[in-house]
Amino acid sequence: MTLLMSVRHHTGFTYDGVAKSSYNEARMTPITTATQRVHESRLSVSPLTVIDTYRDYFGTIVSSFDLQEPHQRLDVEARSFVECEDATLPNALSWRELMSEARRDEFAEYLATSARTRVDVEGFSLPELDVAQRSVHDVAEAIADFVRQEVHYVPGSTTVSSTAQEAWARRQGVCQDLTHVTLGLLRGVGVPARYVSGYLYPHRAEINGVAVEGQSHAWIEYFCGAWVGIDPTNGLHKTERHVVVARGRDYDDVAPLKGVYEGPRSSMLGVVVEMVAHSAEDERVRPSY
Amino acid sequence: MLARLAESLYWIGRYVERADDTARILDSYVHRMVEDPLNDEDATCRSLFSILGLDPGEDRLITSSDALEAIAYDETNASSIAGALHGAFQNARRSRDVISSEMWVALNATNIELAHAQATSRRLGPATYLSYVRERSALFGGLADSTLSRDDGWRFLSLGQCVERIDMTARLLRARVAGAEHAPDWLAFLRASGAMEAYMRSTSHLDDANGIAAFLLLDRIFPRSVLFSLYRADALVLELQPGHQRIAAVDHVRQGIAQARATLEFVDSSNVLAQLGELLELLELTCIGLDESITERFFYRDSVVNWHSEGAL
Repeated sequence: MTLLMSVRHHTGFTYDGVAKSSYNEARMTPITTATQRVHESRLSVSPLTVIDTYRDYFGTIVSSFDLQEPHQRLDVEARSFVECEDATLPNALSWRELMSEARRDEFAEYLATSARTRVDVEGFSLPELDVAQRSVHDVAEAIADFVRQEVHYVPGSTTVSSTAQEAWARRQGVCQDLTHVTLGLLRGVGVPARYVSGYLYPHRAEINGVAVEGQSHAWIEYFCGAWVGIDPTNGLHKTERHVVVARGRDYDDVAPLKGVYEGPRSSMLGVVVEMVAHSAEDERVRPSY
Repeated sequence: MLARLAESLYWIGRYVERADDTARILDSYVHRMVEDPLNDEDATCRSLFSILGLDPGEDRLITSSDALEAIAYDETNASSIAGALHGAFQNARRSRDVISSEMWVALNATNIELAHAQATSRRLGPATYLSYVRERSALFGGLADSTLSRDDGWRFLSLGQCVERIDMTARLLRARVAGAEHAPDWLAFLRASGAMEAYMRSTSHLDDANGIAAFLLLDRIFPRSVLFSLYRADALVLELQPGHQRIAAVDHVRQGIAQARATLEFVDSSNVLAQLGELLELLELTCIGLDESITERFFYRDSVVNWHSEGAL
C-alpha cells in the first residue's frame, strides 16, 4: 500500500541578542529509497543565505549553510512531497552468514556500541532469547517488543542528549530513547542496526488531504540480508506512514539541525511538523510552494 | 588581508606620522622659548601639553626640560615621540611579512638608535633629536612609497597617516585658539608644517593669520592640509571597501569624512579665524569618530571568539 504525503517541518533558534555568525547543518530532506519516492523537496533558511547540499557517509541529504550577518533568529523550514509504501519482509540470512567475517567488517559501524546506545540490561540475556534457534526477524521483533514493554513512552521524560542507559534506568523515554535502547540490544546480539529519523503520519488520522500535526519520529533498521525498518515505539515494522529522512549510528548522526554559532545564549524555536496525506486520486494535488 | 595585519599597518602609519608631527610642533615651541627671553615658560609648556592632550600636573611649574622629557623622550607614553616610534616598531614587528624589509630595518634601526640620539640631545639641546626624528620619519615614508605594493596594506598605512595628520594639524592650530599668547606665532606654524614656501608661493599676504589658517585647513593641493588629507582618506577608504556600497548611508567611515569635508568646503575662507575654534572641535570629534569607525569596520574582532553548539529537533 502506498501513501502520498506532504510534510512541512519548521524549526530554528532565537538568540538572547545578536548572533554574529553561525555554521549549520540541516538533515531535514527525505531521501528516495526502494520504498520511498521523493517527488519534491525544498529547504528554506531565514535570514536568506546560500545553501550547499551534499550526501553524508550514511547517505543522508545534508544542507549546510552559514550566516555571517548579525541575526537574532534563525528559521529553517523543509517542505517535501513524498510517496511511501510499506515493505514486505525479505528472507533473512542465517546467523552464520550474518556473523561472517565479511559482514562483521562491512557493518562494523552498525555493530559497535556508542555512548548513546550502550545499555546494560539486567533480566534480558541471550540464552533466554535463544537467539540461534530463531530468525533474525524474530529476534529483532522480540527485542523491539521487550523494549516497548519495559521502557514506557513518556513525552518529556528525557532530553535530546539522554543516553540509552539513562532511559533504561528510568524505564521511561521518547522514541529517540526507545530507539537507542533497541539499537544497543540488537547490536549486542550481533545484528547490524542503525538509527533512522523521519516523520510519522499519525495512525489514527484519516487520509483526507487535511493538514494534521505530524511528528518527528525515530525508529531503527536492522540488517538481515537487506535493511528492514522496525518501530519499537509503536511495535510495528516500518509502514507507509513512516517517512525516512536520515540514517546513522545514533541520534548524533541524524540531528535535524545542528551547528555552532558565536553569540549570546540560544533557545530552540518550537518545532512544527505538519503533514497532509493525500489519497491516490489526489496525486495531482501538490503542496503550494 | 588579516584584520590584525591591517590594524598594525594602520598604526604604523599613525605612529610614524605622530612622531614626525610632534617633533615639528615641539620644534616650533622650542624656537619660541629660545627666541623670547620674556616668555612665561610654565604657561608655554602648559599650552604645549594641552594641545598634545597630555596632563602636565597642577601643582608645580613646568620647565622646558619637563616638556622635553614627557613629549620627546618618554617611551612609555604613546603620545610622545619616543613612544610613538616604539609603537611603530612594535606594530612593524607584528607585520613583517606584509611590509618590505627596508621599511622594517628603518623602524628597527630608529628604535635602537633612539636612545643614543636622546643622550646626545640631552647634552646638546633638542634640535638634533627632533631633526633626527623628522629624517627617520621621512626615510620611512620614502621607503614605504618606493617599496610597498599599492595593495590594501599600503592603503591602511596611508589611511593611518591621513587620520594622524588631520588630528595633528588640528592640534597645532588649536594652540592659537586656547592660550594664544603663549603659543608660537603663525609663521612658526607654517614652518612646523613644512608649509612656509608652499604658502608664500600661493599668496602675496605673507603675515596674514587668516590666510595661514585657511591654508593649513583648506588648501586643495598642499599635502599636509586638513582638506587634502580628508580627500585622500576618503579615496583610500573607497578603495578598501570589498564591494562598493550603493547605499551611502551605511558606511560610517566615509560618512564621518564626508561630514568634515562638507563643513570645510562651506567655510568662508576669508573669515576662517572667526570660526576656528568651532572647526577644530569638529575636526577633533571627526578624528575620534574616524578612528572608531575604521576600527569597527576593518579591525573588529572579538578578543576571544566563543563558539557555542546548538541543536534543534
